[in-house]
Amino acid sequence: MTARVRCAVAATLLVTACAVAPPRAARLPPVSAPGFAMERDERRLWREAAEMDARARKSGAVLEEAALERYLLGVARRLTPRAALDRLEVRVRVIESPGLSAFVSPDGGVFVTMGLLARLENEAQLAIVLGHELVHAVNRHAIVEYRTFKHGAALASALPFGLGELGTKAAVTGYSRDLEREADEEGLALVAAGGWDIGEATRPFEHLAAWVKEEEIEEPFLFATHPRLEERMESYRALLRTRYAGRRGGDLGRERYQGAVREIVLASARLDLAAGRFGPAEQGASAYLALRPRAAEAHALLGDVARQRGGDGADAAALTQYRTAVELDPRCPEGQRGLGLALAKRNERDAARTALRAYLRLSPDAVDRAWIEGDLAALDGRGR
Amino acid sequence: MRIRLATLACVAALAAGCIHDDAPWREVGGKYDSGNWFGPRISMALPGDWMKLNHLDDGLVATRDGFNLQSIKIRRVDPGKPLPHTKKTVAKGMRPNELAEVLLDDLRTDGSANGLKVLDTRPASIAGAAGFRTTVALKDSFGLKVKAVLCGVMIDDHAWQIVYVAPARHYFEKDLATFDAALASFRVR
Repeated sequence: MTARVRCAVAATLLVTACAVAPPRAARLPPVSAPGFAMERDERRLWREAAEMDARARKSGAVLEEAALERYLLGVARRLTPRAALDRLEVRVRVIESPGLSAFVSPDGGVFVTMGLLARLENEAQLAIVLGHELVHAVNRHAIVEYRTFKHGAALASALPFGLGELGTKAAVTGYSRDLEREADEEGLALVAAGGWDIGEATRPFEHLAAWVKEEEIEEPFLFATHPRLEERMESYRALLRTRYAGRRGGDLGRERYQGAVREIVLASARLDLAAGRFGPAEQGASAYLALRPRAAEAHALLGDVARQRGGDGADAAALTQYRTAVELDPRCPEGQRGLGLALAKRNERDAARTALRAYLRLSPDAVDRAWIEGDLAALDGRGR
Repeated sequence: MRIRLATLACVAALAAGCIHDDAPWREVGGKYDSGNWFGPRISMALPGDWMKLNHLDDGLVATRDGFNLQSIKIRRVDPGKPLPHTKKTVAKGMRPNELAEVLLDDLRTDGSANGLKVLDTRPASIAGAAGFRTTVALKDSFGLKVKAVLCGVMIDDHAWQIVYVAPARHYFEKDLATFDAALASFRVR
């Protein structure tokens, strides 16, 4: 096929895609508008959202940390227009996942992953994410997309090929470009009105871009129909250059944020390690050490990362981290365990025995007691 | 003679490919035998009323009352091959505790397994080789509390994962002895 033919085919496909794009359903006034009344199909969406929320909590996928939820809710309420607060069920749930994601249900329930919270650096960045999501709920984007999608599905089903179906799937996996842009623009206005530093606007997307690169996600499906990450960042930059030109400073809320999410950073790093994402696990443990420089458990985690990643010098690197952990806190069980196993590997029997016995003393209910007792027996020349 | 045997093996393999069982489930009939002509062959004794899922490329999925109430699954894990959930892989010559770490992390990172908690992990002899046995509690995507026994062993160049899963309440204890007996009968040839 020549380049010319390929171009012609691509153009035909694009024209077809435009031709079958469903017409946008009529926009509705925001929930904050006077006389707001829910429509029948919208009421059903809200009921489903409430059911999803209950299911999410019951499933164990949502983190049960009352203090963290209170903090996040405080930021969300500070962002939400007063009239909307009376009508939405604003809440923030943290999903126990190391991935980077956030979404909102039609009734104002924001779901944000541990991975995203761990990467954000301050409250202003959190406000950017929450503000964007809350605009989707305040401006009733879900019902517009739902109605558009229903129409689109009917069109797509008439097509003899799959292109239309892809388009309709995109409608349910995320909001379309214009609604996303609106959420960017109005979300940033909420952040500015709340007094946060809007200069942080592009940072959450930079974190997302870094994650997409690390994960080698070629074209995340969600972004295939939205302004791509670069476009999103550019639209924020344009707003900062124009509407907010000359506006400097504002509340970063760095200490408040880091105090609230500190333990999430380490927990997320542990999830990254389980998932075999050694780089992010290492970065997470190091980020935690920046917050708590004498945290023995973070050094123990860095030891686990080095040991499991393997390669030249891995055992020595792991041993160094375990030694540091035990020096900082001899009562750190994971430090003693790692140190004992690393020393056993080097056949430093006495020191290994001391560390492993310390581990069992510190963790009398250790779930891996049988393994450790086997290792001790082997060190004593009694077993394997 | 050698050519004749090879021809017969080819014919048998082709016939097995053409004449397959259309039923989704079939009674195990007391003993499951993978019956492979090529590659490692596995067997496990199960009670006569257990059913196995047909049309599996590899391994075994068996239950008596349905997946939601109890299941025993066996899968082969080849060194270096991607696992379904974690990016870690099994490596040749892994010790049992290292294998346990990787297979447990694969379960831990399964999006449908929430709040996983290890209750116990220990060395275990499986099919005559040094392996591991780990008991975990978790919630499935519907919030149902389930318990699972995750076992693994490295035999020759392959790792084998044997899992028993059942709702924590009532069912887990009910069929645990059945699983233990089945695990004791597991063989790789």
